[in-house]
Amino acid sequence: MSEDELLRNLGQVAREQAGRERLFLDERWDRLAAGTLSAEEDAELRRLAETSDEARVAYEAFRPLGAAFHARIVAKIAERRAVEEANEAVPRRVIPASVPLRVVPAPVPRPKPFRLRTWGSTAAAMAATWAALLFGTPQFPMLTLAVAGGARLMRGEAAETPTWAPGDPFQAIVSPTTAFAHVWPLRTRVYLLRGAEIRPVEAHAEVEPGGVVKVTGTLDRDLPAGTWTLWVVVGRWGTLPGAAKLGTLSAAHPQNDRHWVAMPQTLNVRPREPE
Amino acid sequence: MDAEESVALLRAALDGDGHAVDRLVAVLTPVIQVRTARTLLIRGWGGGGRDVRSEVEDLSQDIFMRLFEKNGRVLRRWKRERGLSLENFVGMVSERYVKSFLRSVRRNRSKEVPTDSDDLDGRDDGPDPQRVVAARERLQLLLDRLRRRVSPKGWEIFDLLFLQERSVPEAMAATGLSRDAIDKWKSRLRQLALELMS
Repeated sequence: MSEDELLRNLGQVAREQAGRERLFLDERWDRLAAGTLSAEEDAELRRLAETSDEARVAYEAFRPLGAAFHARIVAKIAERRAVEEANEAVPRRVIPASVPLRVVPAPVPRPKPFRLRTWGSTAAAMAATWAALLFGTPQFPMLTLAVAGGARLMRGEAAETPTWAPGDPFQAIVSPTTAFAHVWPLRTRVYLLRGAEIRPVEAHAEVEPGGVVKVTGTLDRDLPAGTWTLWVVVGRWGTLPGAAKLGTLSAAHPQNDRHWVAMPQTLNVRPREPE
Repeated sequence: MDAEESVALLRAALDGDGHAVDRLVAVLTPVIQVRTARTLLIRGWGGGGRDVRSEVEDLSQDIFMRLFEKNGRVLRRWKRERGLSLENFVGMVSERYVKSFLRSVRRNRSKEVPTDSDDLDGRDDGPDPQRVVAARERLQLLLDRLRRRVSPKGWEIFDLLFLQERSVPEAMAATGLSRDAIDKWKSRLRQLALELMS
């Protein structure tokens, strides 16, 4: 590796960023998100999306977030407000005016000690730093999945495989097979898949300190009966596969990538009985 | 939405008027979405087969929660007298949030350490697209740091030699500096980049 390779790589990144700025600062993306694009402009952006990967990703990213997103945000704001109001209702301890306030001095930042760098040579340093750049992220651990919910019918002594009805709640517990320190934020997504049909499932995930992820959700009320695969995907923020990718994976066993694990579970869905 | 309308809508929403909250979310959603998507995409987060739309949704939701938490503390900081519209204020908050989030994600990536090394046995350690993307993201972070730390003259030299890929004689002609001075700048830039990487 030559001496200036790092600077040349940085120059390349800067050029690519300048190119992306030209593409993504186009005001038509703003109008797409606001839903105020003219039909001609929309057709232009769609054509652009067909000819460039970056424009295709941008079209998806700027497409209006829609009514479901709007409803979710309004509900969450109301929920947050209710929690804060409930917390405020708890009486606070009042400090009597006669108690003198203690002034706590702000911590004084300590100067960083001077560190002598002992690079063998600049070229070796480049090689080492480049290797550190490329191979810094460890493998994501394998996870196990346990799904609870549904109904089990008893026939004789044995319980049958659980069956689910549209609108049923479910809980999924995802546990790492080895202890794992998650500094990188985790994201969880849940999908239902049958043949070519893929449905994202609205679910809530909580990551516990030990790395266990608790997922709760509800099956769609209009979910057709049949055998579905529930995919629970857990991985590092920004790396999770899209829904289309799941359609290409075998549902026979968990699938893992360096940054995520996708765990399948078969769900037998029966029609909901009339209430 | 003009400033007066913004003030009235914000006040009503923060007082708990459900219709005002509904309207405010409708007004702010495209602003937050655009700033979030643009910040992610310009910084190269559209590559590596990522589901960028889902990330935009998640981050937009996080930003809304940040705006409204603690009785709308962040939203209450907006003052029309300072000249920024409510939409631009929220856009600025959104952009800062996403940039800060990306910085923390990139910094933390290498700190995540498996505590059971057996788990890594038998894995294929050859380069994969995700790793290449990760390496590029770190270069992007390094570039951001370099841009902030280097002097205007240093950035001009970097721009000429490594962004525009001009030759040293061309850089000499453009800046009026000697070959020796250009070489010294290259050396300083290289040293600074190495320091910022550590």
